[in-house]
Amino acid sequence: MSDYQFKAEILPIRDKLFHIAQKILAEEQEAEDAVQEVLLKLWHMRDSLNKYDNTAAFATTVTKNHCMDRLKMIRRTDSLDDTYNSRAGTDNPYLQLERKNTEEVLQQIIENLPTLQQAIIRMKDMEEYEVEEIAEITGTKVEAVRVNLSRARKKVREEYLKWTTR
Amino acid sequence: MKIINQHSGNYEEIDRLIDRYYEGLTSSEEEKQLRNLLSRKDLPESYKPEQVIFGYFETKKQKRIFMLQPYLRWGTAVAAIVIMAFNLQVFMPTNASNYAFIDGKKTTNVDDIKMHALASLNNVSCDNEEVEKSFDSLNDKEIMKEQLDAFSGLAE
Repeated sequence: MSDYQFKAEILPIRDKLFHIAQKILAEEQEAEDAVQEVLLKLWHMRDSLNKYDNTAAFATTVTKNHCMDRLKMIRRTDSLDDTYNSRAGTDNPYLQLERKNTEEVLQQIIENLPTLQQAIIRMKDMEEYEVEEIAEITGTKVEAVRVNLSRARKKVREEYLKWTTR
Repeated sequence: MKIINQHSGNYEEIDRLIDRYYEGLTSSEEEKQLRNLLSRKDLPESYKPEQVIFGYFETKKQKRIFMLQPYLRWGTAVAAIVIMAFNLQVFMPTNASNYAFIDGKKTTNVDDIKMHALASLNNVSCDNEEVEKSFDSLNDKEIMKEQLDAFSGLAE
């Protein structure tokens, strides 16, 4: 699927995908993030999208699965927080990081970012997309992408400093 | 003094770009500029986080080229095979059976050969006057006269 085809066939069903996401995730902001993540996921696999007879149906399925995964992750992190608190003194994540080199640390910091921020910082800082392009692909405002990008970059710096000044 | 001014000037530019970077405002071009400024060895320790983070992203960029486009490698291999097959088909028979020497050099360029062949034909050919002259010399009368003279010589 060409860039043009993606914009012509996938972006128009964004509202539909958003409704599906909202049904599963309930919260509007969660659903919005999930839809952007799905659109970025579909964008990265656009070369192979043509092999599906009905791309709209495929996009719907991807959205449903993605939201279900997200829901599981939210529940898991909720319960993980308690586990962390109970044993923070003995084996907190920063102690685990100590044994690793800088590259592994940064990789882990990025992997721990919220998934949408992760996708955006990867596209901007590793794949060299412009913010405007990401906004177009996700059907959002440039400002919304900037906010997520800015949060991600600040978080990476903050976590890196935490690791170096422990 | 000049050096200090220059440095503080450069720090200002780095600081300005770093601020914009964290606000998500830098373009890819500005980030390239910032990366260049950060690669300076004499920067204060306070720029370490940015140097490390930019260095990390840089290594990921180089890896991405190979990770994201394995089809390019296959594509290159296929293209190479196709070109080799094409070369074998088109050039090999020409080399094997048809060639010419021009000024002592072997060539298979058909256009070159044609040109040289026509040029050499021009050297051989002559204009109409020459042809007529040569026919004159073979004039019937002259031949008959010569023959007659010969015979009359015999008769004498």
